[in-house]
Amino acid sequence: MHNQGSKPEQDGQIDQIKAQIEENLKRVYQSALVEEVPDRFKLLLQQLKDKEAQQNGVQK
Amino acid sequence: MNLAAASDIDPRDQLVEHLRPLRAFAISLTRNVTAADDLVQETILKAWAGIDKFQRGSNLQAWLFTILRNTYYSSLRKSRREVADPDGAHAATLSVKPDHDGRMAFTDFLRAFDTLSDEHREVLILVGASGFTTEEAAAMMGVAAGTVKSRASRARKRLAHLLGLAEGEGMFSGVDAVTDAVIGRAAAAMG
Repeated sequence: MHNQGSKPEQDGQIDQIKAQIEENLKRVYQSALVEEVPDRFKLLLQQLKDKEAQQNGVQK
Repeated sequence: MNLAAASDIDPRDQLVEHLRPLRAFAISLTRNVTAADDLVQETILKAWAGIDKFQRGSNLQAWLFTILRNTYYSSLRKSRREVADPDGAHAATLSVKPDHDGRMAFTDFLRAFDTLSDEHREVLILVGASGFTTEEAAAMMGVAAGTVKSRASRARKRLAHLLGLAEGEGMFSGVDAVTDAVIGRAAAAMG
């Protein structure tokens, strides 16, 4: 829909708000990205690896 | 690091490098750390067991994200016990406006973001925030690129609407919505 009666400063404001939405979306992801990953996931991967190595050892 | 050996590396040994973005995606999608961590755990187990399905040389992170979002949606389907709020009726009371310095407060933004549907949160995070291309997001979501674009567009409009920036109705046509909202809040405070 055409933005009737829109003034230049309003267009600028819309762009500004759109930019802020994008900025905030990035912030949602980035703020989660900087969080330290709990050790339990690294431990889980290590356990899976050990288990696999054990199984392979048994097979050989 | 020898690049030639990269394809010889067991992708399972690379999973650890993707834990952080994987968890960030899970948190962004579920907006709940406990649920996100359960999802990450399940994704790791599935990825480990199904590593043969991973095409070596392709994007491991995208593959992991795909497993995670599929796991999330199938668990949602199993437990559709929450009262659906497709029109965001309870969100209608949300009226967020820029801070005194003209910026919208992040907490207010999060409230609006949390009210979006899962599909809308997903598309905005994948395309807008985590830096995947439309094509990559389309592959992850199992839809056409055009669908990703239109969904992202609807999601942004929805978000703007929730933020009290009635975009769909011709953003700021007539009375400036932000000014209106600020006046409304001021009036409420005074009343």
